[in-house]
Parts: sequence; structure tokens; C-alpha cells
Amino acid sequence: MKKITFLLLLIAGNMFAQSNSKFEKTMVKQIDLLDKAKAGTDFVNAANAFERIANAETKEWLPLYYQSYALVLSANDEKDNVKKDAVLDKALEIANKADKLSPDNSEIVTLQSWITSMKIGIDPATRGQKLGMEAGMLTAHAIELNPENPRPYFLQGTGLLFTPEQFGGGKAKALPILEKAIEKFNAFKPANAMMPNWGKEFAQKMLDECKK
Amino acid sequence: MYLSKHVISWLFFLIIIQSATAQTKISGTVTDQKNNPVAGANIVIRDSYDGASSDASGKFQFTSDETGDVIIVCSLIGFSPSDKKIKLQGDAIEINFKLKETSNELNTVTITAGAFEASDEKKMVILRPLDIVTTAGSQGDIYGALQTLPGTQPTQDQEGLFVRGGDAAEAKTLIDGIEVANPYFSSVPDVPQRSRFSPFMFKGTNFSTGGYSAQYGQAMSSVLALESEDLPPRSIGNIGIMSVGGGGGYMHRWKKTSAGVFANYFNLAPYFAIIKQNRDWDSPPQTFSSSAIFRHKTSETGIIKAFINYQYSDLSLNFENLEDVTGKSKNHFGLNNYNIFSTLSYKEVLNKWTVQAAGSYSKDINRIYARPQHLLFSNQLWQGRAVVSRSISELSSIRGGAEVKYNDFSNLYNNFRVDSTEMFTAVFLEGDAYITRKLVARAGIRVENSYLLRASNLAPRISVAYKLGKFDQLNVAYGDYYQTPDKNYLIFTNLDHFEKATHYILNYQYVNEKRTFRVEAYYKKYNHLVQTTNMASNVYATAFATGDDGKGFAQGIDFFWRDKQTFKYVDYWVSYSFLDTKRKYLYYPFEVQPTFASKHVVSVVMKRWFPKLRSSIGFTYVYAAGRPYYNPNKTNENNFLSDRTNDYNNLSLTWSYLTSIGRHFTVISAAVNNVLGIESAYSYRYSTDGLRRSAVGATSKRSFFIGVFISFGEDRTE
Repeated sequence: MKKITFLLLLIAGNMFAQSNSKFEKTMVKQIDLLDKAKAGTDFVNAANAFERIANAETKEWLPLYYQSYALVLSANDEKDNVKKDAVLDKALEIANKADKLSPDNSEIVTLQSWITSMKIGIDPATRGQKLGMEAGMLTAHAIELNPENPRPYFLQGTGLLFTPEQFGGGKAKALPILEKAIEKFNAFKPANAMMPNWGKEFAQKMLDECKK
Repeated sequence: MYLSKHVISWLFFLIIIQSATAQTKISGTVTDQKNNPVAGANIVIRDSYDGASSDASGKFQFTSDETGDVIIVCSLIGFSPSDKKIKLQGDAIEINFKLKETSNELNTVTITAGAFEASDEKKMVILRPLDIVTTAGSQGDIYGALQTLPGTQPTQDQEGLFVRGGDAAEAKTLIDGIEVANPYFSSVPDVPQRSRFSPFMFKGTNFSTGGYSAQYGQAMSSVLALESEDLPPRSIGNIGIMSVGGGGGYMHRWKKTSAGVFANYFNLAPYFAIIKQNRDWDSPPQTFSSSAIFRHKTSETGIIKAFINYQYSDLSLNFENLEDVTGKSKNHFGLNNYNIFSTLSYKEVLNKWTVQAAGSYSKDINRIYARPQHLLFSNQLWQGRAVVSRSISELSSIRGGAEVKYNDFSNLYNNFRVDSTEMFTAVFLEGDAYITRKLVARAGIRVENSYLLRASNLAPRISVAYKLGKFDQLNVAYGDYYQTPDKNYLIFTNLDHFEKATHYILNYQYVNEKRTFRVEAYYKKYNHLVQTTNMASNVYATAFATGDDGKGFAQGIDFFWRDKQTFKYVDYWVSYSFLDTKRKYLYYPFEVQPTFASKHVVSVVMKRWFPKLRSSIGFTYVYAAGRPYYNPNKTNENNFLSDRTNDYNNLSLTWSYLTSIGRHFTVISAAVNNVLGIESAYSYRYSTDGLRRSAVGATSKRSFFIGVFISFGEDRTE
């Protein structure tokens, strides 16, 4: 009987290990693919892949987070404003879903802020005031939730860089924030290979832009 | 032991099975309804990791370890997902998907006849809320901006919207579905008044010049439906300092609730001391306003809004006494006004249902001193309104609602006092039926009853729209529109009929993100218009109804062109309205062109943004053909109202400078009205014997405005 029990445990353990490692393995593989993605279709395919994982793993926030993140990257390449807006709306919807699974998560709030500020770009005159306020609040909240997360600083710095000096933006204002972002990036260690770990290169580029 | 041995080998077998892969190859193509390949679609086996994306030719291929009956789903942003049941047994499966586009602003027709919508939420709208405050000549007044749209008349001697041959009483203003009984400051003879509400309060403005839905009643010409803002993104304060006064307010934001108070005070005395006025002011206008706003989100989709506004204003001025041959004596006119407007509304969306309910109380008191007369008009209005709508398919919907208004009013003419009450009820039912995405029909019916008039009416409304291409569409509309005659006529005279207008409209419009072209032809027939005693010679005299067999018509064509694309940083629009109208009403014994109607009206609005100067500079040019005016020497059928004023020309300029004071976003705004200083008479006032007259012109040759507006609570703008 002992043998049987042992075998049963073995099977159960095997199944568990398999499913768990399958999630991790697939996620890490897809994150790697996403990091290497270049064109709009790569991002769409990556978003689709994460959507599939999210479909099966309904309790995990990470597949949703990456689906949303990949959608935002794909929206960057979209020229048609109507489509771009629809993609960003979808990205926000997915990020909000992730937020429900993992409330008060600095990374998700950062993503929500990023999407909000990208939505401004579609019609700055109309959306600037309202969404600008919203994006700013979300960034501040993301920092409050985790002051060590470099990504909200990066968003904040980039936002300031592209805001005219007269409205409280400009290179001089952006520089210290972006320097802080880089500092935080250097210190940042993701808890595991699946955790968000993007933005350092962008941040460096923005910092170089600042120093020009 | 045999048994356990058997079990062990069976378990081993299980482990092997589990590790072994029984792969099925799945492939296929994704297309749209027109068989064009669709790239980027996500094909997935439900509850598994297995799936793929379609490539540029719509093809996809993947393998799955799953076995048995599974559901395979194909989805893409902008399309309705499609799912199919398949059986996986290891044999290769080919499966194709045909996706259907979900409805969006480009592929779905909407009802547009008569409508000008200003919204931030949709992309293909004619106006943005911001356009209203940045239009030169509007002076931040909603109605001023609407007067640059086709179908409206730029009347300069009185306030209100005169739409397509209709007078100001035929236009109604609604806030969240509730009628605003006194949308303007109390009327003063020959001095046009502003709107009582700031345009910043509203997120949506829906201005209709005809053919509107059965939801709206008691308006024969036009409906302006304003939708108030939701919760602000964060706590926010503002201060405004202007050449005519100042004010400010603060709104606090909690998680699901916001509440705020606002107050301002205007006094025109200092301004009038500097800029010469064409009116003999005894005491220049002063106004005190205060309001409180409360909003609470009851759920993700539910919101309660409460709003209360209190205003006090007074003024007095003198008019030339035309009866006095020496020209030395004056007629005095003084006015005190108290106004309260309050609403409480609730809206919730639950799956297919939308429920809106609103209640309102308003009170308006006008005390008029026109020596030796003393008049007091007091008016209390309670309103209730509920609308329920239900969607019956992706696009089609049906809605019904009811309205109750209880109006309690009292008029005091020196020592003679009249009290009366009016009870008005209405119900409506309306459906939007999408036959295809390109073809929609809206049919509605409205039934109203007036206690004071002792009459009921039944008004059918129909509108059919067809989408011709991606950006353009055709719309036809027909409807009956009833209105209870002004209650002051009903107190002394027994009238039997609602005043009635029938609209026929043909609309074509092309709207993309940057350009709009719209042309609308209409015919309007009027019946049962109230007729009154003769034209009053005194500014304060009251006319009495003599009957309700007035009638008339209005026909015309409206053009609108807006372009934000051709010139960088430039946004301009051009409106032209042709109006042919005649009516027998009030003191007109014959069917004639009314005094408020211009045959031709052109307005050009232009705004240019100068990024380096952080400034927006705009102008508005308005031309209106001369209007008829009353001459007591011409009262027969051939010459009644046959005189015309000179044509009206006006150029206004506005300049807005964006900056920050400390960390606070600041706008400095300056405006000049009638830059060219063209003086025109809007009408003439005659003595009873018709021997002497005086021209009614602008209140001043040019008018100037300067203001500084500071916002707190936001450190930057994009």
C-alpha cells in the first residue's frame, strides 16, 4: 500500500509540477519573444499569446499585464487613430482586469497611467486636460504603492520631457526624474523571471535626449 | 497483492499516457464578411494554452495536445468573436472563421437630422465642448457659440435662440433632461442677456434645430439638451478675475463622491464708466450667483447628481419717452430678479437596461418698476421625469418615459393680482430599429396634456437615416411639435389649442475627424399660433391673447463647413442659412416675415493656435440681411412690417494666452466685439402717433472683455 500511496503522490506531484512549470515556462518564453519583437504584428502576436495564457490561467494577473503591455506597444505603430483608440481601450480594459486580480499593484497602475497618457495623444486638445490629470494621478499612485519601482519615474520623466516648459515641463524638469528612474532601474531586481522588467533602455534614451 | 500489482502497472501506464503527446494539427483561414483575409486574429482552444495568430494572409496553424470535444474561439479587436465546437482525435483539422466587424462610428449610421452634437466621448462630432468657450463673439456663453451655427438668427436686441423662423419661446433648454424655465438672465427691453450657466459645467451639448426625438416636447423650433459633467478626476479649484467681476469655487473629490461650491459677483458699473454706453443706465447690472454641486457614483455605471443654483440680479435704466414732444422726460425701467434652479438626477445602466430619473424645483421672481407701474411675476416649477430604455439587439433599442410639471405662478400688476397653476403631463414611447448597420429608422410617439389649456395632443415623430459611405449619410425626418401657449396668455383668455409646428427635414452630412460638410433643407408649417392685442408702445406693457388662429411657414436651407486639416493650427467653420418665413402671430394681422428673421445669415468662425506664443487667436464674422421692423404708420396688408433695417455686420476678436502662475494653470483671455465699429439699428421704437422714433442699436459701439482664469489642483496641462 505504501508503494501505491507513494506513486499516487508522485503522479499528483508530477501533474502539479508540470502545470506550474508549464505556466512559468510559457510565460518566460513569450516574454522573451516580446522583448525581441520589433514590428506591429510581432506585438499583436505576443498580445494574442498572452491572451491565450490568460484564458487558461484565470487567476494570474501577469498574462493580462503582458497582454495589455503588448497591446500598448502595438498601438504605437498604428497610424489610424480610430483603430489606435480601440486598441488602447482594449489594453485599458485588460489592465483593469489585471487590477481586479491584483489590486494596489504598482506595475499595473503604471501601465494604466501609460495607456491613459497615450490616449491623450490621439486628440490632445480635447483630452489633454481631463486625461492628463488622470494619468498624473495614476503615476503618483504607482510611486506611492512601490517607491522602488523605476517605471512610474520613467513615465513621469518622459511626460515632463514632452510637456512644454511653460506648462511646468521641459528638459530641466525631466532630467532629475529620469536620473532617478535610471538609479531605480539599476537597483531593481525582479522577484522572478516573469515579473515586469522593461523600460531601462527607453529611460536611457530619454535621459540622453534630456542632456542634448 | 495481485490487485495491487495490477494497480501499480495501471498507474505507471497513466504516467506514460500523461507524458505521451497525442497531437492534433489545426489550421485554417480567418476572413471578414467580404472574404478579405484578416491578420492578427487570435485563435485559441478555450481553457488551454494552445492557439495561434493569423498571419497577413489570414492563415493560422498550430498543434494541440488536447483531446475530445473542445471549443475553439477566434477573436480580434473590432470584430465579434466567433466560436466553434470541434473534436480532437489526432487527425489534422481545417477550420475557417468569418469574422463580423462590431459596430463603430465608421460603419454604423446614426440619426443626425437637425442635430449638432458637441461631445468629447465620440470622435465624429461636429463640435467639441471646448469649441463653445473658444468661439470669438460668444464671450464664453453657450448660446453665443450656438448662434454661429446654421439655422440660427443672430438677434442682437434680445436674448434667446431664434431657430428657422421660430421665436425664442419655441426653443427649450434642458439640463440632464430637466427643462430650465429661465435659462437667461431676466429679459430687459433692448438689452440682450447672457445664459445663467457656465459652459464648463457640461460634458455634452446636443443642439437640435428640428426633427428631434419624441423624448422632447414643448418646443416648436429647437431643443438644447445639456448633459452635466461626471466626477472630476481630482479635487480642483478655480478663480476668475474679469473686467466685469470675479468669482471662484472649489470641488473636492473623494473616491466615489465629489462636492463643490462656486460663487461669483459681477458689476458692470466700473466697465460702463470707462466704455461709453448707448443706454441711459441708472444703476448698471449687478449679479450675484452661487451654486453647489454634488455627485456620487453608486456603482461602476450608476451616478447621482445634485445641483442647486441661486442667483440675484438687479439693474435700472431710462428710455427716451417718445410720447413727450419736448423729448425731455424719460421712461424708467428697473428690475430685481431672484432665481433658484435645482435638480437631482440618477442614472444607472444594467445590462440591457438604462434607467434615468430626475426631479427639479425652480423658482423665479421678477420685480419690475416702470414708474408709475409696479409689476411682480413669481413662478414656481416642480418637475419630475423618468426614462427607461432597453437595447433589443446589438444596436436597436426601445425607450419610454413620463414627465410631470407643476407650475404655480402669480402675477401682480400694481394692485391687481392673479394666481394660477398649470399641470402638464407627458408620456412618450420611441424605438430605434436598425434594419442593417447602414439603415436605421426611429419612430416615436408623444402624448401631452395641459390642465390650464384643457387640451391634449398626440405627436408622431419619424426619422430614417441611411449611410452612404464611410463618412457620409442621408437622413429624412418628420414630426409634429406642440407647445402650450405662454401661460400669461392663458390666465385671461380661454384658448383651445396647443401651438403646433410640423417639421420636414432632408439632411446630408459628411463628417470625418478633420472635416465636416453638412447641408440640410427643411419645411416647417405652423398652426394655432397665439394672436394678441396691438403692438405695445410701452416697454413694460402686457399684451392679451385674442385668439389662436395664427399660422405660418418657414422653409430654407442650411450649409455648414468645418475644416481643421487644410491649414496647420487653423480650425475654421462657415455657416450659411437661407430662410424664407412668414407668419401671422401675436400682433401681426397678416402673414408676414417676422421681425426676428433675416433672409440670409453668414457666419465665419476661425481659430488659430500659435504654439510659440502659447496663444489662440480667433475671430468671428457675422453677416445678417436686414430684418423687418414695426412702423405704426404702415398697418395695411401691403405694407405691414415692410420696412427693413440695414444689413448687420459684426467682426469679433478673441485672444487666449495659456500660462502658469506659480504651479497653477492660467488662461488670460481678451475679446473685442464689433472691432470695426459698424453701427447698425436692430429695430425702431415709435411714439403712439407714429411721428417720432428712436433706433435700437448695440448697447455700446464696441465691447471689450479681459479676464484671468486660474485653476488649482493640476500642475500642468498637456
